[in-house]
Amino acid sequence: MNDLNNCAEFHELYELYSLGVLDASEREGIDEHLSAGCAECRAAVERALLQNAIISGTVTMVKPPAQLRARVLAGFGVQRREPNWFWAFAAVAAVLLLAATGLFLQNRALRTEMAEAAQRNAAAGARLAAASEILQAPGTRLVTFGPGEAPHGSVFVHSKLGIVMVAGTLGPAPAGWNYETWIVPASGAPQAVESFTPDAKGSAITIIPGPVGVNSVKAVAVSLEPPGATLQKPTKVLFAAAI
Amino acid sequence: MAVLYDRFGGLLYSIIYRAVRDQATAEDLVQETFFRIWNRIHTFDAEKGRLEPWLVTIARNRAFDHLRSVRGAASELTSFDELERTGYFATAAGPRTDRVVQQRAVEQALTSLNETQREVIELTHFEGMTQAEIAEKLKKPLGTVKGLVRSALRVLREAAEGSAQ
Repeated sequence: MNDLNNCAEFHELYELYSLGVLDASEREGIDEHLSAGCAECRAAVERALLQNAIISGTVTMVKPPAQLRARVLAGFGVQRREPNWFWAFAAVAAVLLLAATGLFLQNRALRTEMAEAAQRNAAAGARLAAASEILQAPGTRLVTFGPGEAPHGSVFVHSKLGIVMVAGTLGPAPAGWNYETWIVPASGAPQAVESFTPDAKGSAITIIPGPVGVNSVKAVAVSLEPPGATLQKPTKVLFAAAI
Repeated sequence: MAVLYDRFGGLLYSIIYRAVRDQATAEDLVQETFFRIWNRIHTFDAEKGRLEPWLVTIARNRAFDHLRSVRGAASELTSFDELERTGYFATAAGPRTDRVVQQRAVEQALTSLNETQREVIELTHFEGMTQAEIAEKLKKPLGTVKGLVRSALRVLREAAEGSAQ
């Protein structure tokens, strides 16, 4: 389908459409037109996306904080020292070959360490996959909490897949204390879900997999819990993000 | 991801920081952006599309979603999910030199806009505001704002297209 009047009119709007800043009535008209399969307009949307990227590229460049690279890559199991493991392994192997003593025991220890590292990576990968699935699933809602304050962050909620909470500026827990994530139901007592330790920069990602009763869950909260806490109720609530 | 971050991290951070104007929030959103990129990078075909426009689109959407959430505007994380799919960047292939020339042409065209035109482009492209929101912010009639936006976009579009020929 190709309605020339609509096409000519819509071409002026595709940059705003692909930015997501059109008013609902205009956006719905374009959605309907595109879903009818207008190839010319699809190409126009592609050009608009490119044009928007060019305009965005004129932004004044700001150098990211130095620690951000490590923080982003840590989320993918990539750490600065990781490449050195290869060379460490090679060096150890060479020494073992030359020494020719204790080879079996040391090699077994090394393999055990590598297997444990692989298990840790697999677990981290599974968590990351679960988080990514929730982040990109259609219908995922975004709730932010404490913008500009400490702590702050985002909660992603999908009614079937679960909840991902990304929190920042948490600060180190007092010695022996733990951070704990809670589900706060609309009625009844909060339920402890998962304890966690923020990274060195105070960031943490908590994943609560599984269906979420959007009408029965009121909020996601984080507390600090002292040693030996029974987790029957939060001890020191830091924030609660209403969902 | 390390290669991607080293190549594009500065640009994506700058775009997000320009939108949210808060370092801690920008860091969170950059992390979310790379999550999303990581999850879809396997669908990207370097021979059929350029990476940068796709990455910029994902980063900008994260920033705008955040701003809409803070402003209390209707927010649906995946409202423009379809437009983030790599297939939409299939016609973006071409030498990077063209892109550099186009960007310089657009930068120059931006300076040729009058102050109000530049402001509306800033608000749409860097802060994700709708034309109605801009009209309210600038205390101008909606029709006037729509005219300003369209005329400014036309100038920038013609600059980019002209430089690519």
